[in-house]
Amino acid sequence: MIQQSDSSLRVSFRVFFFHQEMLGKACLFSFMFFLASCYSVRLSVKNAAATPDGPIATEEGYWRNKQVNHIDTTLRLGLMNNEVMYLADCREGYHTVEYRVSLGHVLLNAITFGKVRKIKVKYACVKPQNN
Amino acid sequence: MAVTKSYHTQSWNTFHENGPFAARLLLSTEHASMHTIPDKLERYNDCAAEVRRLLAEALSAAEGFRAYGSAWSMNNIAHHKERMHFNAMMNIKFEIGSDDVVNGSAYQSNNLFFLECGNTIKEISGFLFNKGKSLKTSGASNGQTIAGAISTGIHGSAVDVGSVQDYVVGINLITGPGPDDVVYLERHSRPALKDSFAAKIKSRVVRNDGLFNAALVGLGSFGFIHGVLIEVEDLFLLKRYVRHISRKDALELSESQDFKNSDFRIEGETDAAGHPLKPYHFKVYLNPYNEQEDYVAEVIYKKTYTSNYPNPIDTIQQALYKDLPDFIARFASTFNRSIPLMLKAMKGTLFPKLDTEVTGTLGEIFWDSIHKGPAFAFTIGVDHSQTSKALDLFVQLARNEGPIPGAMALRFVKASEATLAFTKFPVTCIVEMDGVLWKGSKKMISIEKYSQRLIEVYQQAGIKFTIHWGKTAQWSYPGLCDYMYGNRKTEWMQYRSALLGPEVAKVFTNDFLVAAGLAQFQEGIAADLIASQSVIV
Repeated sequence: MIQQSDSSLRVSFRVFFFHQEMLGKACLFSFMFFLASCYSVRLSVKNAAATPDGPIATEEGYWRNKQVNHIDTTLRLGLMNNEVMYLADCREGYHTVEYRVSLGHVLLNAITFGKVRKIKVKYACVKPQNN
Repeated sequence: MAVTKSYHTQSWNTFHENGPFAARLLLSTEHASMHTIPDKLERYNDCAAEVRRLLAEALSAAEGFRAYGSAWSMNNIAHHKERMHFNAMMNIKFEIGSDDVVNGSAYQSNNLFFLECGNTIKEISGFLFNKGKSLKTSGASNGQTIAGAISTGIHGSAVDVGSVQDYVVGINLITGPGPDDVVYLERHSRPALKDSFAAKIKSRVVRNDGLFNAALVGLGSFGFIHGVLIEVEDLFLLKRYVRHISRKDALELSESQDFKNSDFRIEGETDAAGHPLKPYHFKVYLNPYNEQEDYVAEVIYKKTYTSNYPNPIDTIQQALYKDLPDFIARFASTFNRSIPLMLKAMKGTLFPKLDTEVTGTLGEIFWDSIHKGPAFAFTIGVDHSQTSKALDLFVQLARNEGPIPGAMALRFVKASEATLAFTKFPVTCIVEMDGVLWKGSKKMISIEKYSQRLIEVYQQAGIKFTIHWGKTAQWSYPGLCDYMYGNRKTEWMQYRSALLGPEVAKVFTNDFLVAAGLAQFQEGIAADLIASQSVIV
């Protein structure tokens, strides 16, 4: 009787852990899916220094010691428009431009047939050479 | 007119996040725009006047003043709790004409460049590249400003070259608020520029070997370095090989520096008789927690420049998750016994890729390094003949009282003439550990305690050593600078006192200098100590 009970308990646990494992995998998969669907790509020059970000470094990682400018906006394009240009005040050119795409950006673009676009860009300018 | 912006703050931090340190006022000076003052010499002098004005303000407020650029040092050497001056935007560069060079000088005008303090190594390399020239050496990366680089003595591992300060030929210092406080310093035994050049930058000339060598590694305390004259050379290429090297070969080579008769050789890098050539650069990487593992050698040979070589920098680069180093530090302080395993797992990212060959200019080979969160570096200099002993002591300490999250390397640099250069041995072996800054816990030694133990262990073993001025150490350890530099410490303080006088010396004194025991003003120094001397050509 006790054995039967143990055995059924074991089965219950197995089923429980199987479901838990599946749930865990599903969560992990979803997490990875959403994580991977949010990405950034950087274009940078090889031979120039970036404008430093002033006396207090506030950025981390790649952007540390670089003066970062942000473009974070939602654009509504006219029916006949499909290109956007942003003019930045980089006296000696762009040092790095990073654009970021998330699943939300893609969905917004899709459901508005490309007419509403979320734009999230970071950029740094080349350090003025004073020469 | 040059413009200085003021930022009121409560704290400041280094590039590698070794603080935060309490701070009150940060000043940042930028040149007048080029359309306002088109002539760059005029803009340079205009900026000098602005720095003098800032020094006058600091003096009248009886407050300290400290210049900094990229803030790459991993301690508080660039910090002052009262006034700090950010000079990274002061980056004018001048070529030197043959008319400016002293007759009979050992220097060729086309190899001399006068650079303002805020120029980074990367900017300078790019500028020189367009002139067909190159720096002689740099550190392992390129973000430091030239003034910061020489003030702390940054070095690479160029065996026969020396450190960055060793190709500095002249220094333009601002030592106070008056017009006479702008000084152009050179060695009298190796003069480079005529007085007429000094007149152009409105400086009085002092040619004095002792003063020059003291100011060269000045720890930010010899006045405001406005510009430096450097000697460069024709553009060259570096061919870099990464190979396994046995511990035995690595240590034998380190101690003998006899590459010619070594068993370690790179195919194709031999002389006509088949003996290995002496490399430009030799560096050894090692995992302190794995005795069985071979070391990794990075060996670089100098080559004639040609434009026909593949791009040495990966066009597409992937980055680690930015929170990973922080996670490692937290994980390590809780589960410190896992550090050796973590180092083993991360070997591919810590050490250069094995059996690779790559060719590039100096600026390309020692390229950008990306900030990866709070970092530490223990960097100890010993005579190269002591390499094995010094390395074993370091490794034993890491194993017995750690582990701590860092990987090790050995580098080798020729002696510097600077009075307080930490590369003071004929060939200095640099024993270093770089890693993720951690917090101590009940289970793990703190970085402060570990820094102290390093000094104790080396002193108890009777090893003569020095410590890199820009790296992690317990600078307040009693008698540390006396142990490291002996009489040179007093000599350095005497030159500093004589040049600055008591009031200005106080302005250029910070907590780091006090902790290191180098701040004390030296009374009664004879004026001729810093007098300009007759040139020897």
